[in-house]
Amino acid sequence: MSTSVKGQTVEDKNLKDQTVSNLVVKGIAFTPLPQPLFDQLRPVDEVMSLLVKSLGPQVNQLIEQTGIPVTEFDRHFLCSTMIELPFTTQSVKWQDIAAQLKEYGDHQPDTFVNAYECASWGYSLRHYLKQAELEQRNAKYMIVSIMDANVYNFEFWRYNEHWEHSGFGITTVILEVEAPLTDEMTIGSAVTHNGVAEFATVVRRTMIKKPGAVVALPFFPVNVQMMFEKLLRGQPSLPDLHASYGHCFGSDPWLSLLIHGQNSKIEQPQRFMACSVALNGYYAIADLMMTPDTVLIKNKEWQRD
Amino acid sequence: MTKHLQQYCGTLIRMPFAHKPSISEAQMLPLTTDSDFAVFADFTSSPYPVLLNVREHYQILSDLVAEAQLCWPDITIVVRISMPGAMRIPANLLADNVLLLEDLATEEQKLVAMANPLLVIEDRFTRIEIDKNDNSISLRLYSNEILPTDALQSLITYLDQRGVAK
Repeated sequence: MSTSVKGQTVEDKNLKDQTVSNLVVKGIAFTPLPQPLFDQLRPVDEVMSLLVKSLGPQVNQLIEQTGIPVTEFDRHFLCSTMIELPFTTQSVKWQDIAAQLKEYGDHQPDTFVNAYECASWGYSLRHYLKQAELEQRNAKYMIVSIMDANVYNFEFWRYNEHWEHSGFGITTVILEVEAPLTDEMTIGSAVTHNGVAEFATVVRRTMIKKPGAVVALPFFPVNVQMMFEKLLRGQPSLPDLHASYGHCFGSDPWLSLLIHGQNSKIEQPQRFMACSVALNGYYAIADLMMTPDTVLIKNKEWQRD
Repeated sequence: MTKHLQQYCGTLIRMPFAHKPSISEAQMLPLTTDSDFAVFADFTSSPYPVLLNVREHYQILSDLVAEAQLCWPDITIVVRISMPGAMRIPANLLADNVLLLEDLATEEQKLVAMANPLLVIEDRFTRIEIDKNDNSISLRLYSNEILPTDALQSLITYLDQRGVAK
């Protein structure tokens, strides 16, 4: 089956001859969350505890299927764009959530990052790499989870003029650093008011240095997709899945890679760029490889009790 | 390795940028449905006064980070930021030696062993009514070397100018 990629097909690329990224996707797991989460609102601490019961097993499932010993993961960040009010209002404390996650193992998320919105996963990984540098060791495996759930069922988060429909879910990504990274991670922030357009120009500029890479962009409505198309000037990209999934915040590029990998058997290493941009202009771009061994898990939609 | 610590705790007691007009740009989450309003109405207000807005909060954090960079060029900094503030975070807070987090405890515990020096900036400034904060701010500076008792003085002086009292 031919993989649909705008501009060209993956089969057209002889990636073996291309320069490769030293960052390899070992696994991606995604659990879609329903909207609304419940027929009637529940106390937010109860909701967060229920979400932990989905995240914890998903992390363990993915690690187990990759075959990587859990002891290889010394840090795990949980990122989000939209889960902040429970903490702002102190209805929930992160330490309580972390303690609940710890029941599923020491490799579960111990730190929560939402300041960088949809790009939080990239800033977290940058911090992890920096931490390894401080310890004068080479980072080997990195794991990050992303959770966006409309815990208060706010209409704004369901649909708004910025990105129209939202999609909700829990993503876990495991990456392997095969050799010391050079420029695989591009983390930054727009300097103009038009952050999304500026992000698109950064993506194009980055792609020029990444021969053979196919870009996995965040999911946006058609008008933004058209802008991407014009600014990327025909660079190959995976299909935008906004119509099917809505805008899934920081999960978008990982869901894009997951769906691509499931729809098109990956028979040789393929190079991609996972890209996220926040409404406030922060962006994260990871140049990485998917291989025939990449574990891809798309769980069924989270079941309400 | 023995770590040396200097710390400071203070409370914001007045508007930090007195006599300076400030744009009224706080953006609350748009509320449209009956459920939205009901949920929002259930959030309790902070008993502490709102003395600054998001822009001013970021300005203070940015100034503290800039001063810390000047004092200790190789510093690692963790800053508590709980809520994306509907405006862009200043560039120096996005630098690769700074991490912005909801809860600092775990990160501080891990970094203290490996980062030298390490500065922790943990404020609980109330920026909007539903921030359940107490307007406090703590600074903790860790170092492998013995720190003079006034190691944090330039940061404390800055906070004093911005209405933070010990």
